[in-house]
Amino acid sequence: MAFTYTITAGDWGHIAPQLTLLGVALLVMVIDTMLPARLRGGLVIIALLGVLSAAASALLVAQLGGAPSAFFGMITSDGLAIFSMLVILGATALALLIAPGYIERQGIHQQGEYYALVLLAATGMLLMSTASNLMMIFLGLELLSLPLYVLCAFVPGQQIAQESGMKYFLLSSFASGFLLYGMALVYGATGATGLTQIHAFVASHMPLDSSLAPLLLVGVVLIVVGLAFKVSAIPFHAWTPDVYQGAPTPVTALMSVGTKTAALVALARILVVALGPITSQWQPLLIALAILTMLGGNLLAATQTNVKRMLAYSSIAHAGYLLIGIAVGTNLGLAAMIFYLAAYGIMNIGAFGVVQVIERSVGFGTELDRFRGLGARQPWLAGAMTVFLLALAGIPGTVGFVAKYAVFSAAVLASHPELTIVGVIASMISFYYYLRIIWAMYFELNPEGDPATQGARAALGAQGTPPLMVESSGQSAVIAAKSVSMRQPIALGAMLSLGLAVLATIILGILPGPLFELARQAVGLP
Amino acid sequence: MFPLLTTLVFLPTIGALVLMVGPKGASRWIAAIFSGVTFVLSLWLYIGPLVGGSGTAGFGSIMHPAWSESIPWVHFAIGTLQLNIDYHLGADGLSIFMLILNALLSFLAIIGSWHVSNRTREYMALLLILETGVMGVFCAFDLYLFWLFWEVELIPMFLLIAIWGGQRREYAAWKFVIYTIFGSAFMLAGIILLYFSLGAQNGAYSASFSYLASHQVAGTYSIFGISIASQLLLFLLLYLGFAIKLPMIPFHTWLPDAHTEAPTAVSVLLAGVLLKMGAYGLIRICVDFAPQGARDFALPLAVLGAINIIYGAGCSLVQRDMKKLIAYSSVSHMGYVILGVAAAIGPGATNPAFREAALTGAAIQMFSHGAVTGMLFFCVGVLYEKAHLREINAFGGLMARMPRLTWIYTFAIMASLGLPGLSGFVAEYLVYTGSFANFPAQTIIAAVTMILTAGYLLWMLKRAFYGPLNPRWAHLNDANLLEMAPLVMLGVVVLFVGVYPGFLVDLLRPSLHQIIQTMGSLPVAGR
Amino acid sequence: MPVPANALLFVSAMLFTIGVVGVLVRRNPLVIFMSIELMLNAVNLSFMTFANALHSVDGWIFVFLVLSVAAAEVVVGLAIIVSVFRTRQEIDVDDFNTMKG
Repeated sequence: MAFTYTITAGDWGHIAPQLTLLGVALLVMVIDTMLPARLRGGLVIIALLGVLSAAASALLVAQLGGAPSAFFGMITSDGLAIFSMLVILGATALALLIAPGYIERQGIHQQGEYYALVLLAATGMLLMSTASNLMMIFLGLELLSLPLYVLCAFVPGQQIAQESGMKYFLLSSFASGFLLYGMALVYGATGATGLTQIHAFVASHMPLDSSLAPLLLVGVVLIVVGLAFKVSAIPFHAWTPDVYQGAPTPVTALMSVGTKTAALVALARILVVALGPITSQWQPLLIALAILTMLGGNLLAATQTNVKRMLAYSSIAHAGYLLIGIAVGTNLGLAAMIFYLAAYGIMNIGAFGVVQVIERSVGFGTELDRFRGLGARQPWLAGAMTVFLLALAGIPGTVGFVAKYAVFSAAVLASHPELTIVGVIASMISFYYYLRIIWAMYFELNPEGDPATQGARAALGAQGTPPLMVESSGQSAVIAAKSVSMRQPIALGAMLSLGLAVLATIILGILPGPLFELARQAVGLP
Repeated sequence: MFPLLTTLVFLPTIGALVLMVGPKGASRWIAAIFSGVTFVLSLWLYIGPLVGGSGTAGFGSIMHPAWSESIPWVHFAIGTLQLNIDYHLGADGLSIFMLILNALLSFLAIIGSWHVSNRTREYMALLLILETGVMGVFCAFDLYLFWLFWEVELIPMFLLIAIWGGQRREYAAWKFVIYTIFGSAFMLAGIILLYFSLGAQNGAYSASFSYLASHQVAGTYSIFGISIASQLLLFLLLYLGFAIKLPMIPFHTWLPDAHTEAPTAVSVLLAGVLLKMGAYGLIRICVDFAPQGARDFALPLAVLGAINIIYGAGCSLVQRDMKKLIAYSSVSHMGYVILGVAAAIGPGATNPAFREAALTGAAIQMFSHGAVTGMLFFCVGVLYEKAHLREINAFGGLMARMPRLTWIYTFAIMASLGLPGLSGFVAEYLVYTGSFANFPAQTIIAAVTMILTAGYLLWMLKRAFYGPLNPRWAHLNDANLLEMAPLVMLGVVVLFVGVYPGFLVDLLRPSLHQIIQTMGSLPVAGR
Repeated sequence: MPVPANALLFVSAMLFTIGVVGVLVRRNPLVIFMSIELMLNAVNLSFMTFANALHSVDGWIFVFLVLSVAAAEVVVGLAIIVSVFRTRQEIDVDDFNTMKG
């Protein structure tokens, strides 16, 4: 077999966003070697400009229109691709904004590598969400995973970070193995790796005969398993809490949104678009995954005492709501899902942004106790956190409500009431732990377990002050000193990022129309 | 037209705001004035249609309520995804009598909390906000709005129990909230399901009560491959929220804890109106919007009602704490409501008059139980204020020291056990009459339980108030005028309803008639 | 005589299963990683078998992609494993329990 395919300039144009990010990533690394150490903080600006120009080129691709397919059908730039690219780029920008202050506090010196790796990971995410061929999906997945392995273990000398990176690496490669084997079987059954060719083959061989069905179905199951690892659906979620807790928080924020977006879009393309004719075959699997993930994620989150870990479990739960969009197998479901992804990106990165301000060293110092009395100490920070948590819980007036509403209504309209019922119940469970944080921030003023208090007490005791004196006369002084020491400075970038996220959460909550209209158009609904 | 319903719902909230900015010392008076005005205004709900000349038929039904206010609120439509919530308040007979009861009990609760000295201002403000929430539940005529008020009411209730409660107050408050939220999650799922199924079926999306009552969901849902009649599923989802509030066995365990730990006035409101929200929801929402589902579930409902009655009575028998005893007696008495509703929606081809009798009985039981249990809790509250104890056996012969309290307590107990001439008798009699045709076995169980009811109530009375005076309590004073005021007012209401139940029956007839007609139009064979 | 495709697929499935079992039961990250490589190579065998049977070139290209990605994974993975080994002197995944919950 031989074929010739001439690559045209138009093909390159279709992957302009990816190319831009790749170029800027390399540029960041080169400039890093030339800058003196004190100026390296400026690299984040270059990275941000890169993300913005990638977003601009994505919009340009959408504007120019033309055939959405490029590189012999390897890449597509349809509405779904453009929308998810914008979600990923927005998430990357927000995650980049909260990074500088964090990097400084954690003593990360290799700033150039950090930003370059973030941009490379984003490139992989873009590639995966625009892929229309199994090969490209795999390549995109690996391109986003490899930088993330490194980023998870990025903080030097922190056991917890290395543990996080190692777990992510091992389990993610394990999942890739399943994904690949699934792809091999699907390829064996259909003789094609392009999604359109697979669709054509399956559509022309309905109903499946007994020689074809086992190969194809086992392949589909394995692909779902592999991607379910990536979206951290239960029962393939075990890595998520550890990795999210141990990774630097800006990376966690990016991972929780970007990886999910890329993996879910790829899953949607494979299942809903390519394997649409056999919807009834894969649907039970997805429904089971969605239900387990929603209920399990929320129940496990409710037992956590570390807020970063709690948010990790909450992101598992949100993966469940997102899976509903695919499980119903309709275009409206897809539109609801990508709208949910955009909403989830904003509010989740916002919540992690607040956590990174609170966090002392990687993975620690984010216990619920640390949030006690935050409303009095730092009202603006607590206010922002409240908005994000309410949005994650799905309170009306925030974008989280509209997103949940869209997903649940898509389920009812597709005659899957069980998904709506479970979803609503699961989100009521989630109220408990989101409201617990809010309660702690505003109504609990007794940070007994706070290390700062104990430290201050110990210091006073060591100076020879009788403990009784500390208890009686020094009490107010200790509290005053503590409230000063517990006030975390917020870097400019983080402030900007949080402000933007709060605004978007509220404005999109009140006026969701235009964004939802975009989502509908992206999946080709009239 | 003067927006009476909006005023009733939000006047207490305005009162709460005034309270927070007003002088600290005057908070009791401000609260009393605002809730008093609300009560007086609420009476116009009843008098207005009578004066208007349309007679007792003028109270209207769910389709044509006597009072109605509607303002478009949220209209959010993108293609097939429509969310329409109207600020739609309405009041027909079924709503009116609950609204008046709520206004009365809230007013009396504030009078009865005159002695509260710990953070009085916040306490009174929360009572007023609670009044708003409950008012909203009883007159919301849009299902989403109903749910919103249903949730709003939780917050003041939680705080009232958690801050002013007894020793295990936080546990009780959390238990109350978690149970209720658990139920309302299912309810919300049911609401969304109902809304979209009807919308997809008829092409018009609306959650207004008149729309939901005039259009019924048809067909079946398939859940995990098992097909279930749409209306039955909707009924069960919606009912779970109400069953917890009602409370129905086995979801009742939050009630004794909440009652025992809550301050007196909050117990009164809890038993008097909050439990009625569950009963109201069962009649107004479950039965009206999913009649076929209700009929399919009537038999289990009757059985559960009978279990409620006898189980609650049995538990009451062994209680040592007065408040707990009354709490369990509430469980038992709410069982009559369940049984009455079940008889009204039952599958038997009975005379519609029996159905109507049962439903009327259930509704009157809602009102009667609210007033009577309110009295009982007030009495226990008065006693507890003086003795700081609720252990039945620790008392004895209190008649000698507190004759006034003893008399009014005896009166309340007589009303509670259904003495003819008082309100409880009317309700129970109507329920038995109506339900015997449909569910004879359950009715007999319920009727026999009356003996138990008389047993535990009179036994408590005897142990605590009669017999030789326990010298430990020789220092107790009788109830003063302020403490007697709410008791006497409720006593008058109980007596009035018992002697002349006609006014409640007239009030309810048009609303309930509508339901009976709907039930009568269903195919007799059930499924 | 050419080896029948079914036999090759069977071998591939066996190799993949051995790899999965290896990941699940072994405790040394290096051995786990080797097991993962075994899984990837089992997949490669499948791809080649299918490509041969279907006379399609896609499978061959896929194998090249998998090979190069696996190489990149080795680079990153070994670096992480080495850095872990530097800070803690044992490498048994059961001891990686700093985080719980």
